Amino acid sequence: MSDPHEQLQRWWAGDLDEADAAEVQAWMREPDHARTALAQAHDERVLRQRLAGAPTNPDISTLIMRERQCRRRRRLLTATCIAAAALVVLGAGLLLVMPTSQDPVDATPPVLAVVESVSGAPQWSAPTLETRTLTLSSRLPVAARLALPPGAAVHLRLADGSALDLHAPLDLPATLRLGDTHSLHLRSGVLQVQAAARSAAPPLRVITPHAVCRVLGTRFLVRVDRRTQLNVQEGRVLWEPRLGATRTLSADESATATISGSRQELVVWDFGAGGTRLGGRLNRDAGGEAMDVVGEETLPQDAAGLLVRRDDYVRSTQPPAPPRPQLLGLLQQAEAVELRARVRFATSVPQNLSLATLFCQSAEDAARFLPLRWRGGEQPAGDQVFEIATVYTRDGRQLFLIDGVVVGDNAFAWPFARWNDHIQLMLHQHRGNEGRDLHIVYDRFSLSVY
Amino acid sequence: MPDDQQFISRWRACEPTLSAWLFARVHDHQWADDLLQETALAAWRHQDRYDGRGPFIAWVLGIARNKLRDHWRRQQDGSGPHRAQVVDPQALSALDAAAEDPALADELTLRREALDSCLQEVGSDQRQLLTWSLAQGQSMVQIAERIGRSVSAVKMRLHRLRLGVKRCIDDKLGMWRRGA
Repeated sequence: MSDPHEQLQRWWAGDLDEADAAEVQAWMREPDHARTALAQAHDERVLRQRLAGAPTNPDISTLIMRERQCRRRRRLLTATCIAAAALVVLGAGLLLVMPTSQDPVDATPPVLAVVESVSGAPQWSAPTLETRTLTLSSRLPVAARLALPPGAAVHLRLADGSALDLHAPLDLPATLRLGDTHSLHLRSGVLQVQAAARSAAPPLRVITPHAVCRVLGTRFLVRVDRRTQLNVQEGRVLWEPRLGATRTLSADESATATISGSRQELVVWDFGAGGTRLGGRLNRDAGGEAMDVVGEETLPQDAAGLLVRRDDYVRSTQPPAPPRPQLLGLLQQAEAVELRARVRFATSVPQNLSLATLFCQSAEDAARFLPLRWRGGEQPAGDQVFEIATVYTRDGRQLFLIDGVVVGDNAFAWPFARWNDHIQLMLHQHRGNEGRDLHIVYDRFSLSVY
Repeated sequence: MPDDQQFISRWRACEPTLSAWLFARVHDHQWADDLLQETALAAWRHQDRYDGRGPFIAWVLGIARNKLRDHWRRQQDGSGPHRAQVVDPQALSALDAAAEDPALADELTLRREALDSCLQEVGSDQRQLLTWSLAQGQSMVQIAERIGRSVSAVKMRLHRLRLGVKRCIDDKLGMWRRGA
C-alpha cells in the first residue's frame, strides 16, 4: 500500500472506494499494522479534541454521578408509588413517612446562574432533571436550558457576576442553554449581556445558529430569529459569523448573520421532466391521518443512497440502501442544511392538507413532527407547483429546525450523529377528507449543505 | 459495594485504547463518543462481574463489542454491513489483539504527550486551518473562500500540516525513547 497513513485518513473520512478499503483492511492484518492503525486513530481523536477545546474523554466521574442521580430518582419514584398504594389499601388516616428528596439542583454542581427576576411563565430543564417552572432564586446548573414563551423575561446573574437579560418578544419564544462557565447558546430570543471583567477565565461567548459573539468588552445585545443581530453598546465584541469573516465590533456598531453564504446543493432525488407520479389515497391509519401511496415509482440508482425511508406515509416499492459514506460525511460536517422539495399537485387538494420535510432518526420521530403548513392560508389547487424549504442548523450534536414552524422548540432537536438515518417528505391531512384520491408529482428533492 | 475509585482508575487507564479502537471501527467521532459513554456506563453497572483474573481492557472490549453490534443494528436495520465497517476477519482479530495488549495504553499516553507538545509548535494560522477542518468540520471550499486560496492549495496545505504533526510526534517519541 502506497502510504498507509494517508489511506487510513481517507478511509476514515469516507473517501475510499471498496477496493481501496479492502486493501487497507488487508494491510491491517499484520499485528504491527493494526497497532499503527490504533495509534493513528488515537492521534486523530486527540487532535480533534484538542483543537475543539473539548475535554479528552467523557468524564467517567460525571457519568457515574449522573447515573447515581437517576437511580435515586427512580428509587424515589418507586417508593412514592408503593406509599401511595399502601395509602389506598390501608385507608385514609394512615400517615406514611415519605422519602424526602434532595433538591436535584443542589445535587448538580456547579451552579452557574441565579435568577434575580422573572416575568411570564418561563420554564427550565437540565440533563437528568424534569422541566420545571423558573422562579425567583432558582439556581441553574451547567447545561440548564431555559424556555420562555412569547412575552416572558428573566434576569440572571452568572457566577462570575455577569448579568443576563433574556427576553422573548411577542412574536418569538426564547431559548437559552447555559453551556458551561463561558458559553451561552442562544437559540432564539433577545439577550442583553452585561459581562463582568474576567482575568484568567476564557471570555464569555454567546453562540447562536449563525454566529459566535465573544466578549472583549462589556455590554451588548443579541437577537436571534431567522438571523442573528448583534448590537454592541459598550466595549468590544469579537464577531465570528459561521459564514463570513471574523471582525471586532466596537460600541454603537452592529452586525447581522444569516445562513446565506456559499452552499453546495446535492440533488438527492430528481425525477427529471415529467417526474414520477404518485397516486395516493388519503386514509386514516392507527397513527392518525396519512397518505397511502397506491401507485408505483422508479427510483434512480444514484439517488438511492440518501433517499428516504418513507414508512407509512409514502410507501416505497424499493427498500432504502445504506447511506453513502461521502454524503454522510458532508452532512455531518455541515453547519446548516436546507431541505427543499418541489411538488406539483395534479389534482385538487383537500382542505387542511399540510406538507412537511424532516429528518428522522427513527420511525418514532415521525410521530413528533409538526407540519410546515401552507403559508398565508394559501391552499394548493390542481396543477400548482409548490416549493417548500426547511432549514436546519447544528449546535454540537443537536440538529435544530430554525425555519419552518417553531424556532428553538425542543421537539425538533435530534442527536446530530444519527439524524441522517432517513429523510422524510411527509403529507399530513386533517380530519374530514378521508377517502379522497390525490395525485402528486415530486419533481425535485434536494439538500443544500452550508 | 463496588469500589468506584478502583473502577475509575482502571477505566481511565484503558480509555485511550478503547476510544481509538471504537473510532477505528466506526470512523465517526460522535459515534465513537457515544459508544464510549455507553460502554463506560455498562461497565460501571456490571463491574461486579469483572473477576480480576484477565486484563480489564479485555473485559471492557467485550462490552464495547456488544455496544458496537447494537449500534450497527440500529444504523443499518439489519440490511448488511456498512461500507465503513471493518469486515476482514483477520484485520478485526489483529485490531482486537493490538487493543488488548496492555503496553498499547502506555504508548498512547506517550503519544498524547507528544501530540500536545507538537501542537504548541504549530503556528496560529496553521492551527486555525486545522481547527476549521478537523474540529469545526468545515469543507475545503469553505476554508478556501475564507482564506482566499484555491481548494487544491488548501488541500495541499492541510495534507502537509497533518503530515508535519505526525512526523513531529514520531520524532519526539523517538527522542524520548532514546533519552530513556
